[in-house]
Amino acid sequence: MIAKAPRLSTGLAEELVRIVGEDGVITDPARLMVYESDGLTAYRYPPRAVVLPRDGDETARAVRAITAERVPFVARGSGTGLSGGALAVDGAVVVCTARMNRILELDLHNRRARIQPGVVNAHLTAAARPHGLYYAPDPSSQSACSVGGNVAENSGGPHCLKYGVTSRYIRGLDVVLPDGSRVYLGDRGLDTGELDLAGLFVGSEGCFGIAVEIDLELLPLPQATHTLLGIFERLEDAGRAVTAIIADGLLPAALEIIDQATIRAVEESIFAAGYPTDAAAALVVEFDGIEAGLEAEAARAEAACLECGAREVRKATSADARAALWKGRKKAFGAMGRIAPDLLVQDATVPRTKLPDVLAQIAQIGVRYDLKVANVFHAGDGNLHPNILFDRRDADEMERVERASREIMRICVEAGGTITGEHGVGLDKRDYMSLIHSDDTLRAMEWVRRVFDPAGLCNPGKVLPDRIRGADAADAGVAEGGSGKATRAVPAGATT
Amino acid sequence: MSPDELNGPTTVSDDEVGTERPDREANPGGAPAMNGGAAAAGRVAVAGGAPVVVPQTVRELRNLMARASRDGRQVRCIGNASSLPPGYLDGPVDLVVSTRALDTVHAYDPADLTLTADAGVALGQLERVTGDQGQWLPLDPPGRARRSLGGVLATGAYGPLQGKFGTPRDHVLGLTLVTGDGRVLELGGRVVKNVAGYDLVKLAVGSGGRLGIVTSATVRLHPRPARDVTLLYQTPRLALTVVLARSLATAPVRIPALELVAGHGKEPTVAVRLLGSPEAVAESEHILNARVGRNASQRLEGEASARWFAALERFEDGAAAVARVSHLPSRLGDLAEPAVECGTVAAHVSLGVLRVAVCGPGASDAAAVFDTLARLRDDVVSAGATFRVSRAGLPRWPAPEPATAPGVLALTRGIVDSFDPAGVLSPPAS
Repeated sequence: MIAKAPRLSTGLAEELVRIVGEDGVITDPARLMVYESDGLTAYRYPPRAVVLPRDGDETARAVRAITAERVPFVARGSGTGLSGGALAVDGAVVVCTARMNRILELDLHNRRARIQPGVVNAHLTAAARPHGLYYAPDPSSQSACSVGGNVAENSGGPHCLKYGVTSRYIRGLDVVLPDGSRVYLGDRGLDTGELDLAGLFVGSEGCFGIAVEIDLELLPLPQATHTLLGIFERLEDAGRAVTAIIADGLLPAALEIIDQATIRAVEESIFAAGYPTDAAAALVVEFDGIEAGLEAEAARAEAACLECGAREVRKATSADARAALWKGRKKAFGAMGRIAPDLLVQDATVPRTKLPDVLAQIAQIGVRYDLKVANVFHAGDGNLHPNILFDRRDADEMERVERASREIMRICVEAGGTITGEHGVGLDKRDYMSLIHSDDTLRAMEWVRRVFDPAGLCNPGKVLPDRIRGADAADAGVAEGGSGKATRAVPAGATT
Repeated sequence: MSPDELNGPTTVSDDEVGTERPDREANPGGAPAMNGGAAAAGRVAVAGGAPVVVPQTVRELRNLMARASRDGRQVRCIGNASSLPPGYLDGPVDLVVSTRALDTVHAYDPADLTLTADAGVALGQLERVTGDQGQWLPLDPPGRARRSLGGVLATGAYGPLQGKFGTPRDHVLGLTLVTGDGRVLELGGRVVKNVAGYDLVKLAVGSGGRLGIVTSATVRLHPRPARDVTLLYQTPRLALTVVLARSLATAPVRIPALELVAGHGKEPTVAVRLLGSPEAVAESEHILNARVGRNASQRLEGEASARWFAALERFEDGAAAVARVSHLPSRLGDLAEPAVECGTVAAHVSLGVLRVAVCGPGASDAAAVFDTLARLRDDVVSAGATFRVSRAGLPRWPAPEPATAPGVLALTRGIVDSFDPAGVLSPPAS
C-alpha cells in the first residue's frame, strides 16, 4: 500500500533548516523513498519530509515547529522495526534519530551509560566491552537497530529469557514531549515514589514523545559461555526438550528453535551452517555466567535433549565454535530471501507448555492456505516467529497471507498467549488488539496516550484500533486544524 | 461518615460487601504492630472511624468503587494492613478497603514458571505453594512473609534481591485493576513476553494505590537455586566497610544481594548473598574474596543464609520512622556517615539506596524524630541525594517531599485523573 504525502510548507521547511542545518532536512521525493517503509515492507507511506536533529534541543525545536503547523510527526531510529511503527501515516514528518548517535557517558563505577537514542545497540556493547561490561538486550537486528528504537518497542532478543527485556535496563529518559517541552522520566535511584513513567514510556511505540537521552544499566560480561545444538527428528521433541530443561531447574541464557523449513532455507543459502537438512528441528541452548558449574549445567541440558529424542547434540565453548552453532539461527531471516520475494515475520507469545500444540496448528494453517510457513522462535519464553513467505505481486496470495496471519493470532490468544511478544503493534496489529484487550482497557490506554499527546500529532494511527482513537480527531481537531486542546472523554458506561 | 450511615442509600450495604467495625480490623491475624506500636489498621479509628469493608469478590469491589466515585467518597485500600505508607490514612477517609478476602491462588503451572493469585494472598503463602515445586518469587520487601501480593505491587516494595531479580515491576506479567471509578481493567497478560499495547502494568505497580485497587496478578517465578550462601564481611570502621562494599559491587560477578548494615553500636557489616549452582557459588566466593584481599568474617549456607536475610526483612520493625536516601551507588561513602549518625542503616549497595531506621533513645518523642529526619535530609540533599520518609508511625512528617518537576507533575495528574476521575483514591499529599 503506497499513500501520497502532502508537501511541506515553505515556511516550515525554512524553519527546520534553520534548526538542524541544510543537511538535516530531506524533502527530495527520491531521497524520501528510503523512509517510506520499515522492516515490515508490506506498507509504504512516503513522509512529508525527514528531519535529522543532532541533539535534544534541536529535536524539541523541530517538534515545536512541526506541530505549530498542526502537522503530525513520527520518530524513527534505524527503521528496522517489524510492525510499521515508524511509518509516516497522515502525511507525517519523520524525525529521524540517526545523527543522535553519541555515547555521552560510560559511568563504569555505577555500571551505567548515558546515550543518545540513535546509538546502534551493538555499538553500545562494543564500547562497554573493553571495560568488562555490556548491554544485555540483544534483538536479532542489534547490528543495525538503535537503542532509541529498542526503547520505543521494549525490544527483547534471544537472551532475554535470562536477562529480561529493554525496560529492565532503562533507568531514566530525557524526553521531548509532543508539545515540544522536555521532561525527565524515571527515577535514577528507583526510589522517588513517583509513577513509573519511564516504565510506561518504554514500549509506547513512539506515541508519547521522543527519548533524546537515555540512561541505562550495563551488566558485567559473563565469565564464560557454553552453547549446545540439539538436532531433532520431530519438532514436538524439541519443544518437549525445552520444557524438560526448565523443569530441571535450569535457566539457560537462550533457548532457540528453528524448524525444518528454516534449516533448509539456511543450508541452501550462502549462510549454510552445517545443520542436517533432514532434521525436523534444531534447538540452540546457551548457558552463561561463572565458568565453574556451566559444564555441569550444559551436561544436564544435553541429557534432557537426548531423553527427549535428540539424535545428536553438538557442543561448543570457544567464540568461533559457538558462532558456528548459532549461525543457522542468526542467519535464518536473511536466508529466507532465497525462497520468496517477500517475508512476513510474525510475532506472538504463548505459554511455553503450549508450544507443541500451537506449532502443530500453525502447520495446519499453512497447509490450508497453501502458504510456506517457516518457524524461528524464542522457545524458552514461548515467543513464536512464524514466517510466512509470499510474493506481494500475487493478490490472491496476499489475501491468504492476511487470513492465515489472523488465524495464527487467534490460536495464540486462545492458547493463553498474546498477539506480539517483541515486535510491537504499530500499524500492523491494531485490529488484533481487541482479541486480547477489552474496550475498557483499550480506552484506558487511549486516555493515557492523550495525557502525553492531547493534540494527537505524535505518531498518529498506531497501536490502538481506529474505533478507539476515533473520538480523537473530533476532540482534538487534528484534521480540522482545531485548537489542539483535548478534553478527556468521560468514561462512558465505565461505572455501570 | 458515622457508623449509622453504613446502610444508607449513598454508601455500601452489608449485602453488597462485608463490613467490619474498625476495632475488629485493628490487628488482623495477630500481626505485629507496625512502627513501634501504632498498628496500621488501628489508625483507621484515628482517621475518623471509617468502616473497613472486606469485598468477597471483584464484582463487589467494582460496585463499591463505582458508588464511591459517584458519591464523592474517599476510599483507601490497606491490603492486609501489614505495611502502610506514612500519612496514607490521614485526612478524611470514608471507607477503608481490605483485600484480605481475595485470597485464592488461581493458576500455578510450574512448567511455565508463572502463577496467578488474588491480591490478598500473602507472599509467605506463595512461598509455601511454589517451594513444593522447587520454585520461588524472588521478592523480599520489608515484612515480606505477611505482606499481601496486592500491597507489594501497589507500593512497589522491594528488598535486597532486587540486585539480580529486579523490583515488583520486573516480576509482574499482568494484573487486574479496579479503577477509582469502578472499571475492571485486565492489564498485561500471562506470558513472559508481551508488548501488546502501552504498558499500563508498569503504571499500576508502585502507584501507591492512586490509580485503582489491584485484585489479582500473574507473576513470573524462578527455579530455586541449588546453593544459597551468605558472606558477611565485618570491619571496625564504617569508611573501610564502604570501600569494601563498593569494591564488591564492581567485581566482575553479578551479585544477587549486596547489603551494608551499620549503626547503633553494630559493627559495620557487608552482606553478600550468592545463589546458583554449587560450583558457581564457590567460584564467586573465590573471586570476591580475592578482590577484597580477605576472607569473609562469617559464612552462612542454606537455611542459615536465608535466615540472615529474613531477619533483615524485619529491619524496619519497631522504628519510629524510616527514611530512604538514594544517589548513584558510587556516592555511598558521602551518605553513609550522616545516615549512621541518625539511625540504623541498611543500604542496597548496587542500587545506591540507603534505608535509615530512626529509633533508640528519644525516638518516641515526635519532635526529636522530626529533628533527626530534618538533619539527615539537610545533609544528604546537600550531597545531591534524594530523601524520602517511607514510613512513620508518628504524625505526618511535616516537611515537604522533594518537589516534583512540573512536567512530571502534569503527566502524573493527567494519568491519575484518567483512572480515578473523582479523586476517590488519592491520599491527601498527591
